[in-house]
Amino acid sequence: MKEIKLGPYGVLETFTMMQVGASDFPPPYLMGYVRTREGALVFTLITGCEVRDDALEIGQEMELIIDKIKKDRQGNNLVGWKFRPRRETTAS
Amino acid sequence: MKKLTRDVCIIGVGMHKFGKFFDKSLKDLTREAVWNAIHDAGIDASLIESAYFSNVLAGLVTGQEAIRGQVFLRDAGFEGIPIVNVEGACASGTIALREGMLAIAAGLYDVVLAVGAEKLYLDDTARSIEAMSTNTDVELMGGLGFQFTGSYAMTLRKYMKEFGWTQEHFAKVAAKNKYNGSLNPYAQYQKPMSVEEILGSRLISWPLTLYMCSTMADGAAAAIVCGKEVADSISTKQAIVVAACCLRSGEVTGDDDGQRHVARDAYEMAALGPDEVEVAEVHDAMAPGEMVRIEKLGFCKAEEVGRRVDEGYYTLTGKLPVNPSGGLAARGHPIGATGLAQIAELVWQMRGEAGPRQVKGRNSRYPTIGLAQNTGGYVEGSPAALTVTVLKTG
Repeated sequence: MKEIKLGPYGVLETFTMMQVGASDFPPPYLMGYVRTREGALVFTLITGCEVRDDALEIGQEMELIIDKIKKDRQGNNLVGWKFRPRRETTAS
Repeated sequence: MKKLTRDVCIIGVGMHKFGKFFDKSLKDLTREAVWNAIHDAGIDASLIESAYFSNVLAGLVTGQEAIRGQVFLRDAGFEGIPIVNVEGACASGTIALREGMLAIAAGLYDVVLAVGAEKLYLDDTARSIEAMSTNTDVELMGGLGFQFTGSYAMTLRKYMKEFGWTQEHFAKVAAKNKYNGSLNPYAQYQKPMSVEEILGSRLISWPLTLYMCSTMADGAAAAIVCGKEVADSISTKQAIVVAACCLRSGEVTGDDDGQRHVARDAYEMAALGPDEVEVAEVHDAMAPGEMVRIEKLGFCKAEEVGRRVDEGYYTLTGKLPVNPSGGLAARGHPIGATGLAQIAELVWQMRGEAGPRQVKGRNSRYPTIGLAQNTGGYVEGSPAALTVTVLKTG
């Protein structure tokens, strides 16, 4: 067991487009696993691309953003991590 | 992997049919499975010295959070004996069997009961669906839109890319299991379906379509477990030996999520290899997941599984019948009962009591070695609880 510091970049291990959602998550939406450069495997919602099954490819570069996940029962926005396809202009 | 110091066997199994039973309570389901197992063993019920009760969601769906086993088994007629409540999501039933096995191997008891029961069809099915999402880390995954169908879809997409598995292979597996389920009087779905019907059903999460997936179910399953040396004196039924019943938790930092490791534990404990298994019940909440289990259990290399599916290798008459019961997607998946339903199916197959879905042994009339693989829940990146059980005749 050891501590590692995580950066925002990783590679898309796999993904799917949900046609039937978890509660509070209206379909369709994209979710996947990103393997960060440091080796951690992270479950994530995916944003920043069309919600289509062919909008992503296993192995492509992804980057972390902080974004709205859903609303709570009082209507407040809950914020968390998401990944999006890495944008060419983003400096590493 | 160390061995048990006392041989443990199963002398009776019983089930309540899996399905949708709005008119039955958890007590009804439990009572029927338990007494079917007692009658199957043909023992005096007062010989049972301890019980291990598996249930996952009664707390959330019925409000019976505490003392579930004590409540449901009192109704079935049990009082006084120690009752242990067991929970490990979809693997709970196998964990109950393992607890029973350990107590007998320790010499504490000669005869115990392992039982799993689940009731999900109630007035408010939305509550049951919500409850099922607690089979994950509710902060890290449930709160981020994680859903089990999607988990299987993501795993299968990787295999498709790397090993040439296709959606047609997945539909063939689902059709095989629907056919097997059509021959199982305890199955939730008893209607055979064609590959075309399965592929043509509604898309849930590509590559998975509706008829590849399990749904909610009610049901119960039970086993009477005893020390092998006492089996012949209390029951006339053929004793089926628990050669291994292994449990692990998931892993994320290595190259195995725990599935290969728990299989290795079981093969070591049973002192045999995957090639010797003659019949298997594997965890396929979405039927194509069977192909992943086949690979993880070491039955076949990933790149060859698709070809074997095409050849009918895993059908009732194939070289290695897998999920002769119909598996989770056809037999049904009442979460806490599933593990013991797998065990019941293996016992029936190994005794030659499986009726029209009976499979053959390789060197004898009926299978002599059976394997059950059951996983429960999901902690980020891996199944939460993983079990593999090996049963042997004699």
